[in-house]
Amino acid sequence: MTLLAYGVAAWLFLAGLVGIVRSRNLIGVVICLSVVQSSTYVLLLAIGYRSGAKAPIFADIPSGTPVVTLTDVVVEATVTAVLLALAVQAHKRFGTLDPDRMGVMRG
Amino acid sequence: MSRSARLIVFAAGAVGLAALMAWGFAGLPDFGGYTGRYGRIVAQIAGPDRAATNTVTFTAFDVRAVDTLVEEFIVFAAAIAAVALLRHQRGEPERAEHPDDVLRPRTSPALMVVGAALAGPTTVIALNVIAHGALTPGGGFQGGVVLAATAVVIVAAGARVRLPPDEPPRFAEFIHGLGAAGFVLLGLAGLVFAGAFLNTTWAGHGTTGALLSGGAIPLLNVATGLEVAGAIIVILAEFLEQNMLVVEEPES
Repeated sequence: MTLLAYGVAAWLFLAGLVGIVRSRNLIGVVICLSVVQSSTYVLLLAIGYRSGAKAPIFADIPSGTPVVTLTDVVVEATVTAVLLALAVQAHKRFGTLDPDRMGVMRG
Repeated sequence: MSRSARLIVFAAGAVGLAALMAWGFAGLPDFGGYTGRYGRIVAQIAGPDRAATNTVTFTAFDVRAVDTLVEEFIVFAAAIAAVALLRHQRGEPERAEHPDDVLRPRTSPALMVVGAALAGPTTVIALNVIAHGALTPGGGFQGGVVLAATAVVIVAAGARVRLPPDEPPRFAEFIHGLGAAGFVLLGLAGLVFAGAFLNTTWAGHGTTGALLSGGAIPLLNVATGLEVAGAIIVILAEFLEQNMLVVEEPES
């Protein structure tokens, strides 16, 4: 189980990096970056998980109450929005989303 | 650098990185065997010290509130960056000639019905999630996103929106700034009334389990909820303006 948890984190990180390097589309780069980021969530959960323990929430919660997320998930979403905005600008300026065909940056 | 050369350089680096990761992970505790003191201590003091039953929110908005302040400002900066990047560029077709155009999403009758039906419940769920942050799973970040979803649902229902060019929606921008400023002001209140920035004890404990308990944690959650909702609405409005909305034809 230890191997699986940390293995998934390492796999997500490296697979995302491979995706960023191989990508021919800026939107693909942004998506691969979020894959890399999600590896950090898996790693944090893997380190912090304690077998047999309950979530440290001491209220009587009716069963089925959902919504446990990390503040970082929201932050990631907004940062992704900025990166996608950059992709929109790049497409306006170069007429392509392929990083290899964008040529020299103009002022 | 050619594409294949780049891949070879990356492969060499990635193998090294994988080896370093394997080495580092080998030194981490076994899965399920976390024995750190931090989590235990925080879980022990959340109830007695702050009357907060959700240790996760207690950690984020009290013990590590400064971290959360910084995260909030990342969201704040990201929204402003999106506005700056997506603003009208020189040489693009001008919308400025008709700044009062009313925009309308391309929508369908089914989407309008579902959107209209969901608008109310989504708002209630959002406020519920924000308000109970100190008690049960939830809080400002999660509730803020749901609150922003309300705006999306309303637009999907066919609401007509007026987005002046070169300007984010004023109301969303207002609550966006209000939330960010509110978090800092609540932190300063801690400095003035309790002697430390972002100390939450000045607001009183309340009864454990009551809606108004946990010191200033619920207030910080409201500030965060406003900030996050405003930021996401600002970002979505900028993207919507790009090309997802059509100018409404004047009715003849």
